[in-house]
Amino acid sequence: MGCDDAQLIRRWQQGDASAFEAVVRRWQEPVARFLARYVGRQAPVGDLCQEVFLRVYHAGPRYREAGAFAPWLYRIALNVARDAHRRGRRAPVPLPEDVAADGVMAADSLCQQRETVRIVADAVADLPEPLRLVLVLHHYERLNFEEIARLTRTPASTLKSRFAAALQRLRVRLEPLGFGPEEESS
Amino acid sequence: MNCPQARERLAARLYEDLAPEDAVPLDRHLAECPACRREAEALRRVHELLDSLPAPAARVDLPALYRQAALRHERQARRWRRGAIALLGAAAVLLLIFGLRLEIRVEPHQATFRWGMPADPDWPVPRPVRPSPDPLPSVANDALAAVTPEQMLVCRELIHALAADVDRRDGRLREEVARLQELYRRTGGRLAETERQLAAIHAAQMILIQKGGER
Repeated sequence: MGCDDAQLIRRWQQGDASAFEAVVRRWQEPVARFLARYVGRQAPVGDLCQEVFLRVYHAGPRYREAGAFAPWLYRIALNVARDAHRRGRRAPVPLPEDVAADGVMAADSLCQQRETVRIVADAVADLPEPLRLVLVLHHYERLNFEEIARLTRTPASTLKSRFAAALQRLRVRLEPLGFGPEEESS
Repeated sequence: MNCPQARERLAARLYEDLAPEDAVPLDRHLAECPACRREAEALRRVHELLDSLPAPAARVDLPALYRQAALRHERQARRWRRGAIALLGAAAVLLLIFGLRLEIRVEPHQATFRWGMPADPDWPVPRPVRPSPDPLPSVANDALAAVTPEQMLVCRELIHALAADVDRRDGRLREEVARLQELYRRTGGRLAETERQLAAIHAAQMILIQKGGER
């Protein structure tokens, strides 16, 4: 996929507007997902996503990192997210609209599922920024630690420690609320 | 492998970041240690909960993006134009001052503007003029007649040194002016490029609007 992205960018730099549109169609969902998880807001995700690709459009002529498009794109998304965070207070993600009823789920199960989503989203949003960033990029965006290191200019070993710390914090926060592992039967 | 070593590797094992040669001893330890197994299960549960968060939907509005890009290009082009005009003005002033060797001196009751070529260092120093038979005394001729050849030589050397200094300064300033002119030329080129890009964006916009109309 990285090679295809580099080809699309090259075509776009040579004047093919449809190549840029293909890049947008391919990456708008992952970018939106990253922004929602990292910023912790639902409402401005569309605007932030728009801003990310506007910056990509302007920065495209200067793109030179062949084969490393994802970290470059996420770096832009991260800058947009940080700018948004500096402008406004971060709030936990209210996601009940996305947890839609499928028509057969019992009302109490649906409520429980929405409550679970809210609790987990709050826990992620309350992580310190460096831990939240590596968690979102590694767990949701599937970037490896070397790619995240290039993106954040942080050593991969530090990122691995932060990732493990993020999981531990979530575990400590969620287990007392009843989200612990099932006990082994003796 | 002991428990602390095993727990350090649990997250990596869960996300398949562990090398096979490290995974085998860890799995062996987990098979024998219920406490570490519980830790691993707790992390796996966190992994499951993270996956339960739904992904938000978002669609980039491409026509709006092109409009915003055109606006930004326009703003940038205006900034470049202002910068180019300011630079050109500064270059013109510098050219005027140093190209014409303009010297401005302001004194309490007068202002002096001078310009022109410096004195030619090879220009012969005038020799003292013999007093003319003119019966009327000439103050200048008397003063020149009083100057010794050694003093004339010192004056000549002084004039040569001043002229050389002025030439050096002129050379540096000519280089500076050339650099500013080059900068202005490049700025003009970038402005032209920006205007071409604007035109391309407008054309793309029109095509998109037409396509939208046809649908």
